[in-house]
Amino acid sequence: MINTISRSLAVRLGGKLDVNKDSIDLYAYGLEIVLGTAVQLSIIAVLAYILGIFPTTIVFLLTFCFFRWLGGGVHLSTFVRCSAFSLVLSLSMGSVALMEFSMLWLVVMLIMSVFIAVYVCIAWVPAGTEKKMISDKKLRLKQKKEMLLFLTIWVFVVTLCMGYNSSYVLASLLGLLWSCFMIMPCGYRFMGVIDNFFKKEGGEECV
Amino acid sequence: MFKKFQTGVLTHIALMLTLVAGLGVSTRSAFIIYEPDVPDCLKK
Repeated sequence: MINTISRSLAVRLGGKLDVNKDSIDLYAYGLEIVLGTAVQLSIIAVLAYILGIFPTTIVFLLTFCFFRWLGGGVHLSTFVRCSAFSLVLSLSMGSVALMEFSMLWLVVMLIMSVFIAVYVCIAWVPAGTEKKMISDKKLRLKQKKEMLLFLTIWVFVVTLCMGYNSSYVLASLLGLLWSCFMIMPCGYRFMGVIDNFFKKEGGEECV
Repeated sequence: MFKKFQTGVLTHIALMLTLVAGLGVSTRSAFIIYEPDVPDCLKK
């Protein structure tokens, strides 16, 4: 679906600018990323606003996306599956973050999350996919160091926010934990199970 | 006049899409939720 729309727009753009096939492929790829991301984020933002969980959902998404950008991780195989999963995950975590927790529990969860994140970073970051693998040792080490650096900054920011709003802190913690889960081998297996389930249900391949 | 303007706008759009495609294939994808197939011309 999104692939067809992007390809058709890229062909029209390429025709107007009179470019070769490689450039059209490049435009189609760029359009697929822009349109796919815009559609997914718009749906999540509108539904979160309607459900009254907009701030926590956005905080969850920002943290989740930021650590996924730093550490990589698993993706689902089609646009529709990816959109559906992102939607369910973001909205449910946005709702969970509204639960009331005492300061002590938040501190305990923060400490546990940091231990998990450091372990995940040392063991598996950067986590690749079939479409994109990073095997260069220097590059892998560089990304591990960057993730650890930004994790330290994140801990500092979250600690400062603790006295201000516990829902935002919890949403951010959930974002970190989910991004770590998607880097871990069990996260890859979990997403594989979801992918296989939809294949059995006869889901349409859209990518 | 209009055609020149239109070509200018389309060239800028094409340039931005090329930039986005470049970010998409970098070691760290800036677009997190969705990962399309990388075209052959970018795998070279």
